[in-house]
Amino acid sequence: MPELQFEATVNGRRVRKPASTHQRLLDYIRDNLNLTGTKEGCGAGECGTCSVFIDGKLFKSCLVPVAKANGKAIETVEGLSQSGELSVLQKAFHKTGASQCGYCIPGMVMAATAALRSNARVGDEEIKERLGGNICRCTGYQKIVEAVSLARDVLNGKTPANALAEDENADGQFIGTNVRRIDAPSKVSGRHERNL
Amino acid sequence: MLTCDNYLTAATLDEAFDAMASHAGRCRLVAGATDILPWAREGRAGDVHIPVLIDIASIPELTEVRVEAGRVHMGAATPLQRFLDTPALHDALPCMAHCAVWFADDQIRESATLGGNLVNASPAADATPPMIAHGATLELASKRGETIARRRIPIAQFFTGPGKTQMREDEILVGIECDALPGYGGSFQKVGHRRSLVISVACVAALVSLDASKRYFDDIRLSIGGVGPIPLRLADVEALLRGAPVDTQTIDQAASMSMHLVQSRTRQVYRREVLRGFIARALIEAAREAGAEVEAISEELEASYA
Repeated sequence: MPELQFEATVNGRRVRKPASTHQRLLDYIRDNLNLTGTKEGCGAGECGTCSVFIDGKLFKSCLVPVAKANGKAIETVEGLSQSGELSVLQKAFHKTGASQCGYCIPGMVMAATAALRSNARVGDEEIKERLGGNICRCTGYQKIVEAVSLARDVLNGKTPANALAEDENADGQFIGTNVRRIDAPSKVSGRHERNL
Repeated sequence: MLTCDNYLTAATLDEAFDAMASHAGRCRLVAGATDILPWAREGRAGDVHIPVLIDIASIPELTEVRVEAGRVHMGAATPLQRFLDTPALHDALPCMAHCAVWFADDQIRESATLGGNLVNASPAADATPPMIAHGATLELASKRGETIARRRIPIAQFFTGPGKTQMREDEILVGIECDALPGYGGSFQKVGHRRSLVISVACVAALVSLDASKRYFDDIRLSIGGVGPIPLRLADVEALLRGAPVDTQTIDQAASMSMHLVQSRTRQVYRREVLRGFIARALIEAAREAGAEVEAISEELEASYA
């Protein structure tokens, strides 16, 4: 299999590891770097779950031949919570129950991160527009949009940060209360660490 | 899956031509790669092996953008997203931002290039009708001995059929030049099942300028895509509208003139109806953007086409 010298900064770390000439950036990230938070959904550029930042711009990594990312700064979903703490947006996904089955979520989190980075006051309609290239087959778009607007309001100081915390569970009653999913942190971050 | 033995990233036009010459017959040019990767998959072309892929997207000349003296020059590898985030392009090309929001999605617009969309020559290509409306000229380069030869071709002559253009095997589309039309109103109409990631069933691009009273059409540029083998400019409709009042009767008449151009293999009746509505709506939106008074346009007319 012909090889290609590949060097890039991935989530802030310098990486130098050969790639197969015809690999897509998606394959390289998952198979060569073992960063499996980035998923392959349709593999044809339609679902968006493979979205990654290259030099600060969001791309679908199933449509990027790996050579195009050579020498660039790549940020994957794992990079958003590198300190070990979830980002405000990831916490908002956890809070609103937006993580669902988790397959489209890395891409949703990346696209929503891009939306908030480009416009800190992004409106609800613009959020939907910005997530237009990401498809969720659970069809739970409402919670995803809620998560992004919650994160926007917390980041702008309009809503207090404790809105991201789990609802108080009075008297140990679970029926009828909003319980956060225990697997959400790993789904929204692509990481397995216990501290997330 | 798409496989190759060698993926060459050309740093200069010379490098690209040299690679094309030494791998003639076993290479393909790649810019955004957003068409070739989904094409080389099960259900379409299946597994495809191309010995040498030559990536031309980072050649500086192909990514340069200049706005000068009434003309806009764009390198062929300009990503579509630049029409939304580059203020100079936004102002000079009133139609392109409207087109870009309908083009695939945010992520794909970062990869997909204007030149790639043109040379693929899909009858439903989104960027082609607005580029026709903007009076684009395409610059093609090839290497003759040690020198690079260039020729220019008006966009209206470039397309010869679905997937077919005047470009030769040994040529590269290096740039696109078109009219800067600041102050014009622009509109782009497209229909598909959803906003993002759909291929046009029909699309219309319009550019409109008004006279000083804002009640009469001055200059009009109108083009259509998705309804025939190649995108077309509607010179007869433009001629009818020049100097005509911005009113219901004129727009209605203009919208009904191009039904015979619908030559798609499927859904002709539907497309004719859509085309009529789109031309009316594109004219109305572009006229409004150019400053036409709202009362000059009948609400019923717009509602009937909504």
